Amino acid sequence: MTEVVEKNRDLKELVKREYKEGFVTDIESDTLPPGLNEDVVRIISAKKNEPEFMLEYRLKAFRRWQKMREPEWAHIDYPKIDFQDISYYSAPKEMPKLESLDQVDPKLLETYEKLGIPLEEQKMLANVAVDAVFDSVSVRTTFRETLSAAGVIFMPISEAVHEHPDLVKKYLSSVVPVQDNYYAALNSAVFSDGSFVYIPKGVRCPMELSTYFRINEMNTGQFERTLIIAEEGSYVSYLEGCTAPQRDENQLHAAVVELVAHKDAEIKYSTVQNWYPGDENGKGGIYNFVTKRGLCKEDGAKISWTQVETGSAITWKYPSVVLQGDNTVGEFYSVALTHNKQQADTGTKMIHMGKNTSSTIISKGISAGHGQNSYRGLVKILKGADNARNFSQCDSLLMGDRCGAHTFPYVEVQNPTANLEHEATTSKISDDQLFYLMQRGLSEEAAVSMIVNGFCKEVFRELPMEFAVEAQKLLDVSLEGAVG
Amino acid sequence: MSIAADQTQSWLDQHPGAPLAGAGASWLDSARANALALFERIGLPGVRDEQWRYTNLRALKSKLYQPAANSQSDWSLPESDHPRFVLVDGVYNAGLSNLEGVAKGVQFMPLDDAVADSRFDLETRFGSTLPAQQHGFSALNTAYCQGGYVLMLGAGATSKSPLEVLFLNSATDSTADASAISHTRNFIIADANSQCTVIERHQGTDGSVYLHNTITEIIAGDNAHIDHYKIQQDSCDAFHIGGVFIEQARSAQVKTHNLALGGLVARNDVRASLSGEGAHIEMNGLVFGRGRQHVDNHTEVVHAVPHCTSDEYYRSVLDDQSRSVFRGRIIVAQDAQQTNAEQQNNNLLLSAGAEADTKPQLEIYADDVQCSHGATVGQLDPKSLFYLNSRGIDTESARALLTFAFANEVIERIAIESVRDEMTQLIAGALLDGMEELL
Repeated sequence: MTEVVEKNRDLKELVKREYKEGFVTDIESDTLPPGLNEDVVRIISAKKNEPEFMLEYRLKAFRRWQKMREPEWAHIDYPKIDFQDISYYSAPKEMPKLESLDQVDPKLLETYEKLGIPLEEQKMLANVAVDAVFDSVSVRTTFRETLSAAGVIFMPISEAVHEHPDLVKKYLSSVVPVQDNYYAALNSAVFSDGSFVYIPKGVRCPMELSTYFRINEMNTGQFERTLIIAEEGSYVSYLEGCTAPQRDENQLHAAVVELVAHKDAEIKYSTVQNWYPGDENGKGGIYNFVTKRGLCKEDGAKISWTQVETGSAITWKYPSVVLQGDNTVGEFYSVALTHNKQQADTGTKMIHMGKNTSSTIISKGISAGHGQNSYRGLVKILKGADNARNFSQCDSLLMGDRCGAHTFPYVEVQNPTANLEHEATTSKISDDQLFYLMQRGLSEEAAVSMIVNGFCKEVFRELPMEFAVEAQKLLDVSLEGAVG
Repeated sequence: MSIAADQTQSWLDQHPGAPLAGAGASWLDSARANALALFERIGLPGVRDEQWRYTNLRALKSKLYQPAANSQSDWSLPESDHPRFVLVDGVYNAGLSNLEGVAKGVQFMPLDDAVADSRFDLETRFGSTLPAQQHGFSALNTAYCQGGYVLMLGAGATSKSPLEVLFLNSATDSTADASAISHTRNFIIADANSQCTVIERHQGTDGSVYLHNTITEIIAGDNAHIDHYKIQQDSCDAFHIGGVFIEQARSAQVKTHNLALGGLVARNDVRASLSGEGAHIEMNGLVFGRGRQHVDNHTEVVHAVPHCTSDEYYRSVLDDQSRSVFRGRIIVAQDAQQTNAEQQNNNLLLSAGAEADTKPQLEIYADDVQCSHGATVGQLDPKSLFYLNSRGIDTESARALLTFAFANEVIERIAIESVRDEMTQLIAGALLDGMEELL
């Protein structure tokens, strides 16, 4: 309560507030000139000293990408991206293998501190291993020893390519094929770096794994690639959070995340996305085109996506689950907030293939200012998916008369034993609720904050604790200036 | 030349010589020419088209069509005390029709006559309710419509008895090398404070193959009350492409009932544009799919102004290999505050080969609104089945009863008692063969 009241500050001042995470770190970078062709793909691969199979993989993806067209079906509106005007590689120069924090460029450390990720402190207090990606090259991975004692592999994917080529070969693009969609193909061709996680059979990962991403170079697309494999009976919770410096040029972010859950394994993937959303006139901001998909490969597997999307000028993102094994479970919990000129087209796909599969979709959309927020989802029950069960709920909250909330669910059922419910509602914050809270002494701002947090509660409670706190703060900050 | 272009050409080749309604009216001729040009550009829709992704028209496109040459004339129609307008293969049949007894201020006539009479001002109304993005069949309809009914209600006119329209399709001559095709275009134009009920029946000789492409444009003036029923019982090998497009002025109250019982492939576009404050639209639909039937219902409600309400209720019962597609789109424009929009789509799958695809959509640009949609796909509740079993009703009868109860939710929304009874009998007859005493 008191926390809520404390946040009640002068509105006008808050609306004009600068993006808190907006600063550019001045580090000399090794950056390729803008443009994309086969040579660029070869250079990227060579720079990373990749084995032959990776180069072939990238080239295959690049050739497919050249034949593809940008998807246009999403309910978003933006100037066409010139893919030849983007630089596809950028790495902090001189990167010897580091053993302790002292060896890290102090400027980098400073950046992390501004972001609130002091590595040492997190090591001590939060018990969270942090694999920080600074632009395109992973600089530092902590806690590797603790994890390796448990047999968990958690490293930049660029290292995994060398150290665990068999695993990478086996699983890379096994869930999201290179030709899956335009942005996935692009990512496969030029991906810079990302995380690789492997949880061996029967292991419950001793800590929550977390990565902070950060875009830093001007005009540099960020192409993350994440691959998580959970062997039989294992469990892992993975956190992903993003912030980005303020700038005017639109930046493209096309990540791919693949999850593979074997028999009785469980993967929980949580995201708090706070890329730069652009200013109040829609200038600047990140274009976020992300492909995320999990495969419940064998019986009893479970994959759960939780996302809080408050940033980016454009969000195009559909974390999906393919329920291939019998008795598998897929979940999707989402809060998406659009303010000012932000646009989000996000949702999920649940593909039921195995018997007795179940999926849950809870999506909460909040639109304020001129924001346009769309839920787009697919629930597909295939012929063999006996006794499949799905529950979907998509609620939208509108704040202001110039924003929009849209729902585009697709439901395809080919099995008569399926049970499926979808419901969606759209409304504004009720005057009755506001009045009730305000006559109890809350300011309008605090009352709205409380109602919005209540609206999102079903999703927030799925987040790991630290994330839940961060997410609530993020919503409050993002909605400042939206009421009144 | 690409295959698609080939096909478009072959569709254009099928029509020369067919008698068109209202020939000679220059505005209509130019509307037809424009529609043809549009069709040449867009062709027939395919599954790559978002609005047709679940409806494969391969069976429809694989056939050749031409307007029916020899229409059947010996129809035995049930007695009726309502005014009745009959079209056979898309052409008005005066002998079978009975337009006597139409109330004062109401005019009920063939499209030809209405085009010729400038008092009806069809020139400005023709096509005015169609959405900006038409599909190829709408364009073909404008280009080739052979006939249709026009119902005009003057200000304050009330038609107490329902007006019935029969679209009859005769069996194609087995020696003919092409199936029959007909395009009909109909209008209900209701001036302020008028009231009427229209029952459209679409029927065909059993087992005959034909394509009926029909559009009904409804223009409801201030405070007009219109009930529109479409009872589609086409032959189980026929193709039915239908459109009901509605424009509503202030406080106009329109109800549409779309009962899709027949046809092999049936597509219905129902669209209402609420452009006067206080307007209300109710859309009800029932799909009763059997065999290899494919029924595709696309509905759209546009809330363009504040204080309008819409209520949509579609259900489908799917047996055998049948498939139902539902798309329900609700658009609330930026200034359409105080909108209340509801939509429900429930699907009951009775067999392993049946499929239901549903796409309820909300697009909302205003904030002070209450909108909701719900969709379900499921089977009969095992607990209810068990309950009936435990009361001594065998499983087959219990399933039939529960299925009937599911469909009955839509039937109960039918306001006209005679139509409601007829539908009850029809559905009950199909489900509860010989078990009527259970009702």
